[in-house]
Amino acid sequence: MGFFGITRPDPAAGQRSLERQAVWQQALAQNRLPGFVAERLSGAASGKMPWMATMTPAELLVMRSHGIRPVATVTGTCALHYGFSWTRGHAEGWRTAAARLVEEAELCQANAIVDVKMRTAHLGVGSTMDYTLVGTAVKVEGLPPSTNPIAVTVSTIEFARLLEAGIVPVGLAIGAAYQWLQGDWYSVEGSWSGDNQPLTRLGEFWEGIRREALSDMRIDGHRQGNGVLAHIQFGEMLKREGDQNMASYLARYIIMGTVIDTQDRHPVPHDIRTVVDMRDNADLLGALPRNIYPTDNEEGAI
Amino acid sequence: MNANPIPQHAVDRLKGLRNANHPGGIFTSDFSVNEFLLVRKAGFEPVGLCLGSCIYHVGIQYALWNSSREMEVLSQAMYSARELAMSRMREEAQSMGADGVIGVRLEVKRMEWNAHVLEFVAIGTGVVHATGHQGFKGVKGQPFTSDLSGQDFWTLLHAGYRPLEMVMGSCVYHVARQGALKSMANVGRNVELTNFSQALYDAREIAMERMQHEALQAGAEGVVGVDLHEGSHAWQPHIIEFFAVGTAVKPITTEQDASIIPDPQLVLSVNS
Repeated sequence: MGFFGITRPDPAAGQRSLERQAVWQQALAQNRLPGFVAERLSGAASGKMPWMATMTPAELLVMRSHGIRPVATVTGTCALHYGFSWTRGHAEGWRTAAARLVEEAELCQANAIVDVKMRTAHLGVGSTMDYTLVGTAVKVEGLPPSTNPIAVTVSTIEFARLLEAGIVPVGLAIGAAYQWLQGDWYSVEGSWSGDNQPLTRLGEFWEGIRREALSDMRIDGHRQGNGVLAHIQFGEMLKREGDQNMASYLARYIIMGTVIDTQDRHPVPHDIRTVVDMRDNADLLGALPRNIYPTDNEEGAI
Repeated sequence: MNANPIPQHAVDRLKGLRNANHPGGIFTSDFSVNEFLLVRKAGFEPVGLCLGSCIYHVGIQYALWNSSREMEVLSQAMYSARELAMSRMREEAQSMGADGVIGVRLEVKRMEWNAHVLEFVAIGTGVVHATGHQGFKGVKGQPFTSDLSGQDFWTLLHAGYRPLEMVMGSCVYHVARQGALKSMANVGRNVELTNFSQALYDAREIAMERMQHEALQAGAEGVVGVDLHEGSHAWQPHIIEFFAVGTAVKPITTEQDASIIPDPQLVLSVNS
């Protein structure tokens, strides 16, 4: 039954945990990854160990027929305490996680990371958040290992589809915005009134944040290519009550997408046929681009 | 005359003429109609729903509030309980002569009256190869197991792979609360909490390493449909289970040349 032979707390296991942590600490301090991570990844790259992929069999099929191979599931994690600034802390956390994700992909000699998703584990510690990105590193047959593999939010199947259509995915664009709103909460939330009414201050505040993040992402994307697709996002608004009905509202929004480089009006090399779909839960709404990428409404995925 | 008439035996069956003497008895399955059709298209027939359940008392392990470590007693409990449920399901599949179990759902339920008692259930549909091909069995001639749906099973076979075994790795980890003094030093600064980073990173890494190790033991070429879950099963807030699960796969005979894999056509579904 697996490889556990113990039933009681094992002092040796505690010791092993400590040793592993010491290795992690040293590695992260030097901006690299521990030996055992490298072993798992290079083992998968060389074929000595099984590959691991978040992809479905359908994606596996498309990958194989397009000369792309899965290598390993890669992750990047950064837990950050933002004592100084939520704004910079939030952006920094995601960027560090992204850098570590890419580093893992490099270790497995990959050319790209597909299907990148945002995750967080809720530690319940104030001013702290865990930022994790998970994706699948892939190799394109005939290409040498990339020094800086690109990370994309699109699924494996869409990655192949893009390449096939002459559209080159070139990287990840990140946009982030954070803002405090101060005010007396009766007026902000319209609490005295029983009427239907739009909360204009709060609405404009939140809309402004979203716009800012989007424009930030557009700028980031413009540096790399000429389009940003397949957005994944995380947003939340928090309230902190103060004295005399005063309250502070913090809204933060982060959005990531896949940057593409494409020629204007490049033709799509396939005819479109209409079919009866044999998948279950093949919900037409679910197939719309804005809904296929997980957002913050599911436990686990954010 | 209808262009696609209902086959005579189906008509007979509908009339209730054959139901008493069906040679193979009846099957039960939680397949949807589409799944059933695609499993059949893949050359398999369902034989019955296989189930394994295990009610497990998860032991107690304490960790110092300021130390990050794997809770190996809990890791072991979560792993062996799932493994027990899975092996019971596999036994049932074997007893009904199934070549494998597909559409396996692995669920954990907590008992209201005791937080330490968890029920682990594995449910899937046992299938047999329609013409008795023996090459689809899993590890050591046992039925294969897979959490793939009937649709995904069809696609996997068409991609040139067959499922071997559902592989998993579990790691329950206690993430230390940071010491008060250290927190004071962080006031007014943005800092990476490396103890949190490395604990969370390590826990996911261990879960993946264990799953990869299982796949290696099973003789797999790779693991498809990998899913990483986080869960805290009513433990203290800083104890988190990281669970990696996927289906270990192997090429059918030798690996198919990519050129014979059909390139899917672009279609627009009009029935939803």
